Amino acid sequence: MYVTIASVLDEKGNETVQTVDADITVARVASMMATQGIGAVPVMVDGRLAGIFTERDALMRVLGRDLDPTATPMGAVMTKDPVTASPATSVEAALTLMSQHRCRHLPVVGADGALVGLVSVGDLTVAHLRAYQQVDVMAAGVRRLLPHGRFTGIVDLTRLVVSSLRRVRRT
Amino acid sequence: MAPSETVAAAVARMKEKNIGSLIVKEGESVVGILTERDLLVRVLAAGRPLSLPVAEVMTSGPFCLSPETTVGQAMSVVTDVRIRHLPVVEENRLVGMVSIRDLGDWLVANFQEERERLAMAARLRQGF
Repeated sequence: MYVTIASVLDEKGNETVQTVDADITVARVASMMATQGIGAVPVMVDGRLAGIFTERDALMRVLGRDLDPTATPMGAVMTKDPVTASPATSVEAALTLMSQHRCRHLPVVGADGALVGLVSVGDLTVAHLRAYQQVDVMAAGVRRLLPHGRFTGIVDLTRLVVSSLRRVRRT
Repeated sequence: MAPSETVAAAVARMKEKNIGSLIVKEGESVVGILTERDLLVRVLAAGRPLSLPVAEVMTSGPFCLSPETTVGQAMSVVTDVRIRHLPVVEENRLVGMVSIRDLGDWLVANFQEERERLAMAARLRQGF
């Protein structure tokens, strides 16, 4: 009854995952990510997965270090040896990995070591919510999350959801 | 962050605080949000300099919630429109921010709870 990464990839339409080589410049990859509306791209060396480049890497390692994007290769700023999932991994196990490693994307690697896809925290969240139909616990207003009506930085939507869930279960 | 501050200052703040977005305010009013995505698309990919004011690269008039917005509606915006940060505004005043940031954490915690509940139900069934 587990929803697996394989079914999430199927639902995404089985499109071929967009990858780049480690010697391509940041400028080219950034422009590709911008035009294709993608948030992360697996980086390959000799046809094998070697890293991933994300919006976060663009912020922290390129803009944050004021590097010249037209002169910086992917290999210098990618996240090396990223955490991966397999097609048989459950959605929840994949979310656990993302949570533990504080990442929003997981390359999906088959038993033969070949890259078969990429899943995002958004993909997995949608898949999980769909599978568990947790719509009924979300009717509460977000006001409850804002202590004393003051700005307190980032307020976590998920805490409200979990507290609603607990309340529903108790009654 | 004010719209007149530079992108370089915004990047430094996001790096230092390890956050993925900043609310841009003019006085008390929310006028925009600056996200990792904005920086990738409108600065890095566009080859524009870090000396630009934030106003030129932020997302103006971002999706905002009211405190009365339901979590379900907020969740739909986050998952359908695929945005990760939603300012919460009341009478034009910023009162908070709702984020998908830890949704994964919650789903995992919740799933473990669900699994324990199912295991308990199975034990009960065996008892009968």
